[in-house]
Amino acid sequence: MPKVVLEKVSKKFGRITALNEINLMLEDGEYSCILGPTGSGKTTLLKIIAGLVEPDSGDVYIDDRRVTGTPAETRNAVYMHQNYALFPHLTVSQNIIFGLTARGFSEEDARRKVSEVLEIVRLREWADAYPRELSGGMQQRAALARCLATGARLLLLDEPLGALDARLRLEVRRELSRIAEELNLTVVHVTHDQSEALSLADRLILMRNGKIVQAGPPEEVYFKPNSIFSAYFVGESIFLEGIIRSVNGRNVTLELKNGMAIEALFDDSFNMGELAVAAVRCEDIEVGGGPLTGSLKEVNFLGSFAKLVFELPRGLKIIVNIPLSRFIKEEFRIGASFQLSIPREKVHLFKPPSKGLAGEIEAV
Amino acid sequence: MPSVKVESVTKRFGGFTALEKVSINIEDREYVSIIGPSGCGKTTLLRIIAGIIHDYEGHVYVDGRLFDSEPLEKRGIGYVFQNIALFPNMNVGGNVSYSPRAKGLDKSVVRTTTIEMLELMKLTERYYDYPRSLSGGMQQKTALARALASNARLLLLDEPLSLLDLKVRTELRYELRRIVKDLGLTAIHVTHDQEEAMAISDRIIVMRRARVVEDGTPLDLYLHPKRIFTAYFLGESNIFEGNVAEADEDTVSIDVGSLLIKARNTGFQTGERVVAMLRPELVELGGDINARVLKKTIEGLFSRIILDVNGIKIIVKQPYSIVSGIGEGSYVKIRLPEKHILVYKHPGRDLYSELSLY
Repeated sequence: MPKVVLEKVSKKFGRITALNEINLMLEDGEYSCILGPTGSGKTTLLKIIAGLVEPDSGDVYIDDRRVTGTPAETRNAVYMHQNYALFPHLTVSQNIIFGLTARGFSEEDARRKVSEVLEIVRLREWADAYPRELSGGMQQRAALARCLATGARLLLLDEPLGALDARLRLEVRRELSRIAEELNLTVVHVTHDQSEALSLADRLILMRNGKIVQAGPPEEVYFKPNSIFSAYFVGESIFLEGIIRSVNGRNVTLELKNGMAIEALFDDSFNMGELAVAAVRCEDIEVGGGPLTGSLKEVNFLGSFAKLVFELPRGLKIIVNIPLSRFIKEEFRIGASFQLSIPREKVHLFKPPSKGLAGEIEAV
Repeated sequence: MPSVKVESVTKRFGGFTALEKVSINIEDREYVSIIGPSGCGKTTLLRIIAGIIHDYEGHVYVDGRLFDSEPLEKRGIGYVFQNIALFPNMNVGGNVSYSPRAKGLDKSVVRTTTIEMLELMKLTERYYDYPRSLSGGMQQKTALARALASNARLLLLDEPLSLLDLKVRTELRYELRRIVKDLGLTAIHVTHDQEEAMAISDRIIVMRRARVVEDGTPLDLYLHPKRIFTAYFLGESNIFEGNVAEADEDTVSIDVGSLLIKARNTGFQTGERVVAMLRPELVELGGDINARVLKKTIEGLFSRIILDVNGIKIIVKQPYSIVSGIGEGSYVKIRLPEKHILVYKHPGRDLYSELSLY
């Protein structure tokens, strides 16, 4: 059964460090999503597990077997490209058979496999159709079927939904999750879409600059971000810089740049007089009641929620996301004043980053 | 000032109909998005307005002036192509300053405009780089800067943010809207990203199969879509097929199998076959419908829960703080609020083809 372990895996391309001493363990049957910005090393990591790229140093284990340096086809793993090109002149079933006979399956075994995997991806009626006759989502499922047919228990997916329309992406996302569960596959799925990662993953691995920033169940990464970058990249947060004014057994008080103060739960790693950054999820800020007063500058409706931008004294901006049900019940008039509060248990305190806050969260 | 009127435009490529009698009106300074599944005709429509495609039936007017035979370069349009198309022999600065230079604007004006747009796109440090050394996302930002610097009053944007990382994309869309509004431009923006369309637009036009399905403000389309396809395509929705079991002036009861759903009556009669729609965000907790939790996932700021009510699946989206105590396998009580349920006439054939993307 595929359990995947990476030990101090590093990889450079010329002067660029793609991976820097990565340690990682993925359990059998686990669905992991690797999330990170462009250039963070996600695809390289996936290709190293697949055996398509060899690490400069470090080891890869699959099923407790050291596979570093072994050929890709002996790894019980299958890698699906971002552009999962099907052969246009072959039908769906021929595409799958071709993949199998190329891997050394007999024609007869391959045929049996075809109907099995087409059943799984719900394309049985389309076995004789050519790729151009299928919708984008169906092509994607056909490509997935081709991967599943190899019998590999470890599925390595590189932005598998990237080429699909947004609406379709949601549907295929749910299909993927179902198939992985039904077949008890171990899946590693690379994406830069945080909502995709949050909803699919048993384990979310957040990467940046060739390193793993945080790894854990999605809830843990979301609710307990271990760094400013994590709070920035997963979900949406506001960041407030300030200086610690008091620390007592229960609270830490942070004086913000504009002179206002907010409180956080006690944290013994901070001392009076230290600089700190507070991260707060935009949906955790309460509108209506509270010590802060902001004037509503902007309202953005986004379907499931609305984004409200408030301006506080001296240019401080606070963004609050409120659910649709509330947005349609109350009046949010631009220019009006609102009371805001930031619950102390929702404040995450971090040390100021060496490059400055902007450098840490600046989008690439 | 650019208002745009497209009048009954039809365009065929061989046997394939890309646009079928499409009419749209866009007001001066309006920011309009066109969304729809791939192949719905949205890019073709944009290319016709731009003057890249000439042989079509129907008419295009800009500012009330017939534009059908207006040459491309006289249209005063800033166009951002899906496949970018930067000048490969010019660096970033050269690309962005191209149009103001070609117009013979004062050197200092050219320079200020260029720098301003590059700063906005966070590309200043790339001034001397050539397109081939830029990532796809950076090329896209350069193209956007070039279009904005061109001084065009009408911007046509074909998936202008599609190559950017999601995080950058969500930040840049607000910037884009702000500039368009600050400069008083008219923008038509084609995207496959519904959230982007909602965030950036004054109005959204939904297209499918070469036709306009409907248009409206983001809020209107989300809360009161006139067509069931819009409800399905834009955001997520619970869609129930059923028969009207009882109808009076104010309300209808719809039998959807093992559940009766009450809604406001918008003109239906007992026995009629209908489709009811309710947004997952508007399903309320607490109520008298018993439901079992099949699956719960976190999707950003809310949790998505799939419930089973006597074999009928109902999706609920609520802020995670509200549903933190609810686990898979447990039971909850819900209410399907009457005032938020929309009822549509059943499309007759199967519902699936009505909702189909292509």
